[in-house]
Amino acid sequence: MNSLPLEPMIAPYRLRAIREFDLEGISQLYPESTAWGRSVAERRSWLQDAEDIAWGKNPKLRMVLEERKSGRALAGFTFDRKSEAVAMLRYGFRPSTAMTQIAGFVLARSFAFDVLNLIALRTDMVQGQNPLALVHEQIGYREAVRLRQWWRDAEGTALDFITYEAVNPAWEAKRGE
Amino acid sequence: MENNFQPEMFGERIWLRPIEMRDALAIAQSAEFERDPQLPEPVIPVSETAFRNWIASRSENELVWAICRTDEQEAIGTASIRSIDLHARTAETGMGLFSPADRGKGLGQEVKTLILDFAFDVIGLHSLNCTIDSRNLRSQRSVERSGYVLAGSLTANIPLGLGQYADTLIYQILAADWRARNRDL
Repeated sequence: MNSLPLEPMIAPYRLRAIREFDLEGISQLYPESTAWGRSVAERRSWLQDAEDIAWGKNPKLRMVLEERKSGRALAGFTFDRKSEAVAMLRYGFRPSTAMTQIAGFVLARSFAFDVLNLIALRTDMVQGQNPLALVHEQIGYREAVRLRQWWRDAEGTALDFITYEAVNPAWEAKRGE
Repeated sequence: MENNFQPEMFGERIWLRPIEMRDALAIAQSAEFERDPQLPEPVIPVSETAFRNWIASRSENELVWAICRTDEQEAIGTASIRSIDLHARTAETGMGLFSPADRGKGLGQEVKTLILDFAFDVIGLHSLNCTIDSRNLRSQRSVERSGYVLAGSLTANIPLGLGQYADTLIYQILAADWRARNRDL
């Protein structure tokens, strides 16, 4: 499969740590936040409880996908560590294009391997709900697990539940030795 | 789970009864059996008290049975249906026989048949999965014999220490597949 030109795709964006001025959109950025619809004070309280200084060893490390030109926070990514080697990637996007979302997954993968030194980064989703499904192979994710008819939508339709996984090339090389 | 309905179930050589406090010691002692050369690594010892705490505090969406030989009361293993989601009608299954001497004799197949019949026909679940260490070939063969199909693998999911990791395999079986399989047998 042809690979996508990743550099121009990710150039308009960067990942950065969450800041207090992101509080306004916190429920969109971090779906696990319990601060949805609450006052600014309550949202700030959630952020204070959730954040600490652990230099990348945090059990949950929250990052923001920022558009460089506007400084707007377009997405939130939570790296939820399962072990020293593996993290689940939770995500929340503000209304954005498919290309923006794909760029976010590319940057998250790079961050996981280049900064956190993880072996594997996983994210899961219901079939057909995210542009990642269309291009996962081209941006370094593989379909790791597909549970057939595992998810039921509001109408009761059974949909596949898919786990995508990016594996650190350094680990692949080590395992292949 | 609603009402936590959990009956005793009977196979040819084994029967299943809901796990009880008295089983904590047998589960704890299972780590003391001689190491099974076909399993990747020894079981890490856990105290009887820890298992008593686990038995007392199991969640409502988890059913665990003690596996006993027919006409005996002593547990020789455990079987479980966990993470029961009655909306999606999904769950995860697990099973283990304590003694290496009991493994590889078909007892596990009897247990799985009882558990799958109960999960699909009584609880009304639609799909089950189970996870297996990629190095545990016997368990892989066992679940495949029961009709589970490989759904995928998770890289470096099991820390082994010293920077080494093993993968986890995910298997799945749908109620429709189980029923079709039983019809064909």
